[in-house]
Amino acid sequence: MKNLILISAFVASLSLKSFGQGNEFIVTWNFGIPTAPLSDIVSKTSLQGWAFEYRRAMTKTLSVGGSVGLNVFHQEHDKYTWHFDDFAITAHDWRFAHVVPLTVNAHFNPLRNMQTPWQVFAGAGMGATYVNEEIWAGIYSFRQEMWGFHFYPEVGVRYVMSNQTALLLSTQFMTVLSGHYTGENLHYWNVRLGFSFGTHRSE
Amino acid sequence: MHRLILSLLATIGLLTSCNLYPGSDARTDTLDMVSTLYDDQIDFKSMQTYALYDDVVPIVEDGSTPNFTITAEIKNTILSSIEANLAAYGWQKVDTTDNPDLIFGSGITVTVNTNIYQSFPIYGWGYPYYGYTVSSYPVGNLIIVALDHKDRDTVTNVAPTVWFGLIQGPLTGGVSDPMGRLDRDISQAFEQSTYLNLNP
Repeated sequence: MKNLILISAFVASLSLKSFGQGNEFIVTWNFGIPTAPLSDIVSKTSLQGWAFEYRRAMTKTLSVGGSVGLNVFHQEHDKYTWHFDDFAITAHDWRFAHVVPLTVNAHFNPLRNMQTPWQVFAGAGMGATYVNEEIWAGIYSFRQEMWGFHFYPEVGVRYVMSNQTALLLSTQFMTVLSGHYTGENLHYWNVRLGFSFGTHRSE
Repeated sequence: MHRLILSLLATIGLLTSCNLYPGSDARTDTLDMVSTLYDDQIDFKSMQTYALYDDVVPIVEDGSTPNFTITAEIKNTILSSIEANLAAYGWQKVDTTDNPDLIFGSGITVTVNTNIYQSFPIYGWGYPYYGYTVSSYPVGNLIIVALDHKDRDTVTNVAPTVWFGLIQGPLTGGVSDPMGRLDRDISQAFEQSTYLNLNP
């Protein structure tokens, strides 16, 4: 957690530099929608997620950058029964999955050089992810944590309110290789809603 | 604009700072766990009768005396709950001398759960070391077994166990209705054992 705070502070501090040509700082509220196999543990959409991102324009339409984020998946069952071949267990359970992706990314924004408030963009990212999956059942708890490689495609839309600020809505499909406790890849949809501060129209 | 940004940051901070883990306000009885195990080679539906051993025995190491008491109220609650659940499943209670299909027995033991938490490194004078927090609490374990009386060894009189129920729960904190808690957990053991249901 301490490392996460330091990394977040570093990314956030990039925003303290003046927003020169093509620099962008983005803060988003993230919604995580789990898919199999993560949904086998937690099927509930996560509203507890955030990300800080920095992008730097390399050309008029292409930018590269990095981000750090967090999604917390959580679900509680009053009474849940696991059935196996010849035995069954019932308990009140709490289930968690914490996903912390550290990403480098690239985005293509074809409308950045046009004077239009609506800008669509597409991109991709990859990096390292910390995953912590926990089940607390009765008086017992089970925990699996690991680091894995992740990647995602992303599409989104930006509404430019001024040359320096914009609203942002995007969707990523995250894949963390061997990120699930069974060894399978972990997947979820990451819907992001937030603000972008920086240069949104090319000169 | 600044208000919107601050609202977004505040929302993010509020949502992600919520403590989702069960804390000290979790009720003791929500931590109960009910486990059942059965011999899947047994055809329970071909059976009809059972006998119930009329005591709940303390389970301790050989030669030692139990450090807990099984009150008459606890014993009566356990036995009547087993009876009621089996009756609901269509079983007929008979005496042990009437050659029942199954014999049910129950016992209680108390164990201690110990949790060890390793904290972040503590940096003081000298080499940093990890701090540990150790906590422990007593756990009550109710064991219910069903023995196949008709498949017993007639020489040693030992019968195989064909069904096993284990109910575990912490014995800490005030529970407003401890007998109700026992009854609920025993009922859950039978609820998840639908193969014991003889009703059509």
